[in-house]
Amino acid sequence: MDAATIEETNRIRISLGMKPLPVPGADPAPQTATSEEEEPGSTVESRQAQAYDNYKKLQEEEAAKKRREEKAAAVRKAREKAQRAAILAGKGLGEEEQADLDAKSWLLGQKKRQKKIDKARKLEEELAAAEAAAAAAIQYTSKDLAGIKVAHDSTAFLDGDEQILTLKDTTIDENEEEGDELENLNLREQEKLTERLDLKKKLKGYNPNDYNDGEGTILAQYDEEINGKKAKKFTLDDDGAIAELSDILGQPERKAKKIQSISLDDIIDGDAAPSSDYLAPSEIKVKKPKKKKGNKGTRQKQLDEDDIFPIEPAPVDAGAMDVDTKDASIPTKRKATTDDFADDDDLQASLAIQRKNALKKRKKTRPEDIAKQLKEEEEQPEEAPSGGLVIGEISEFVAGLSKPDEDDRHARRQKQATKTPEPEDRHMGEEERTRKREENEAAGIADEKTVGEGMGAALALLRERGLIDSSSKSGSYEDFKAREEFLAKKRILETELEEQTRHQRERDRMSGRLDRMSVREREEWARQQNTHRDHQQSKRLAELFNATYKPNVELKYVDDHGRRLDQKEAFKHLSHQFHGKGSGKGKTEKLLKKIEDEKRREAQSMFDASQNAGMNLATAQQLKKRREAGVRLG
Amino acid sequence: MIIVHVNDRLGTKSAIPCLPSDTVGQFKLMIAARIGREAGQIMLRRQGERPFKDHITLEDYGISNGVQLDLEVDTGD
Repeated sequence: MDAATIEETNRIRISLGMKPLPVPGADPAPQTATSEEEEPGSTVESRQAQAYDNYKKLQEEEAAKKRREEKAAAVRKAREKAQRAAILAGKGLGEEEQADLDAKSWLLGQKKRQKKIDKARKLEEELAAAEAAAAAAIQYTSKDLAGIKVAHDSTAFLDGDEQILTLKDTTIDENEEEGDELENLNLREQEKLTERLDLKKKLKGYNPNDYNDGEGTILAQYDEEINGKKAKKFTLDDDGAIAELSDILGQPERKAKKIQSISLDDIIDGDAAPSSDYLAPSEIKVKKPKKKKGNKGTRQKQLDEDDIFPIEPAPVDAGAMDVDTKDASIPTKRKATTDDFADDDDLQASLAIQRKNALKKRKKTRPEDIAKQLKEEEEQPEEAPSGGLVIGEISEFVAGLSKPDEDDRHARRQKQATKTPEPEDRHMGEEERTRKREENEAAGIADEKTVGEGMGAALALLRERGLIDSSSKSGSYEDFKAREEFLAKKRILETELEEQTRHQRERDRMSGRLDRMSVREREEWARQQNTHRDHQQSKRLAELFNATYKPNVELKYVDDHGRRLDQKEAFKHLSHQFHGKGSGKGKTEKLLKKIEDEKRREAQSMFDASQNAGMNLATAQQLKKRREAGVRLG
Repeated sequence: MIIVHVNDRLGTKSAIPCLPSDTVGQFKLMIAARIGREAGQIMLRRQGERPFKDHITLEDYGISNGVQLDLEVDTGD
């Protein structure tokens, strides 16, 4: 910036009352003079200079302080070090006590020390030798391998080559479950390879001809996938050998102690009669127990349930199949339950003995006997299944229904048996019927009317369903009668009038009055006569109408389905017809569904509980009919 | 002495010599004398900062030699 501009600026500045700018060419002397005159701190520059001095002083002070602290720290460090050195002075634990022995005495003690060291070394060696000997003595033999599984087929080892088995690599869980297993890695790989090759060949598949011989399961090729692979395994025994392998190797096979498991059912299936746990009632010898106070109640009961079942003597012959039928089983069972529980032990003991005997007997049977038995069984025609008690849902339900009846009948029979035993049989049929009805009513269900019995029954059925309004209008019959009467009267009157006209015409013709007239006149006259007659007749008819005709106006509307419409529906129907536009799809469907429901409901049996158990629509209707809120069950 | 550039980014730009101890108000008077707009209608600001206040010196705002300030019209609000 040149001096001219600055001077110009200065002019402005001075006019504004501001300090002029220093001009570069001008003499700066007066400025320094003024600065000397000024007291310190009065101008910015002096203040700035002061501030800088202050700052410098502060920094110097800080540096001095730092230096002082450093010096103090060094002094402290040195002192601590000296202190540490002072503590460590003196004799340490490791230093020998007789460190201050002279050379001669040390040499004298040297031999002793040497001996001691040698002794210790020898002892160590001996110990090591003993340990080594012990280790050598322990031999890892085949006995140690007893009970370890080998995860290969035993045939894989028949080659005679030496095979190295290693512990199978498993997770901890698997190991806990299955125990250690040995396997040969090469063999394992080979197995995998063959497996893969098999899969590639895809030999397996469903072959219907395979199944024909009846062995194996259905679709046996999937067994592996479903049940998992059957691992081929065998267990090493004491010799490190295998039982299965031994016969191949030519050694005498060790007898495997196999526990023959025998099902107790098989025993019972045997032909011997006493093998069953249950005795036929004829064979029972009941020891009379001493009287106990506890079970008095059950014994005293007169109406024992046993009476229900007719006791028939069970077949005693040994050849018959021993099926535990109900009547045979009940007595012993009841005995077991009614007796004290302390007797159970005795019972169990005796049962055990019995079973054992049966088992012994069974063991004696030779194959020939079995063959014979089989042949016999084949020859025998198949018997119809014995009438055992079958308990199913339905029978339970039926039993529940007829329970009160049975008791009732039972009691009644009992009563009658005491009073008059003879006429019972004769009245049985009739009584049965009436009782049945009674009982039905007692159960809260009325017999549903059937249409087959006649018009009255059909009407009753319809009325019961609510399909016909039971509260029929009482006046309707009167109306009907009046109408009929009116119609009859009208008919009579009409015939009478017709007769009259005919007579009149006849009379006219006979009188010869027509002969005198011309044709035109005749026609004119006939017309006149006709009108007159019509007038007369209509008058009479009107009289009749006035006297007897009482019209019964009833508007009936019927829709496309033939249903009667009530006022609302009729209005809607007419409206739709008038506007030429019916309901939408949804409403139409709803209506159709309603109609369908109605039809179904009408067709439904009153006791059809399939809809909503107990309170179905028909019952609801019945309730409505009876004007009751609720169902009477008893 | 420092030289401060004022620029309104619309074509008006000038370099103004002044002292750091001048207040912003005085500086505005000098700008007014230079560019011909009234001092009351001048607003100065650094770019992106709030406008300068009249009674504070340039030095306090940290304005040194060669600094450029934005020149705007002060509408009073």
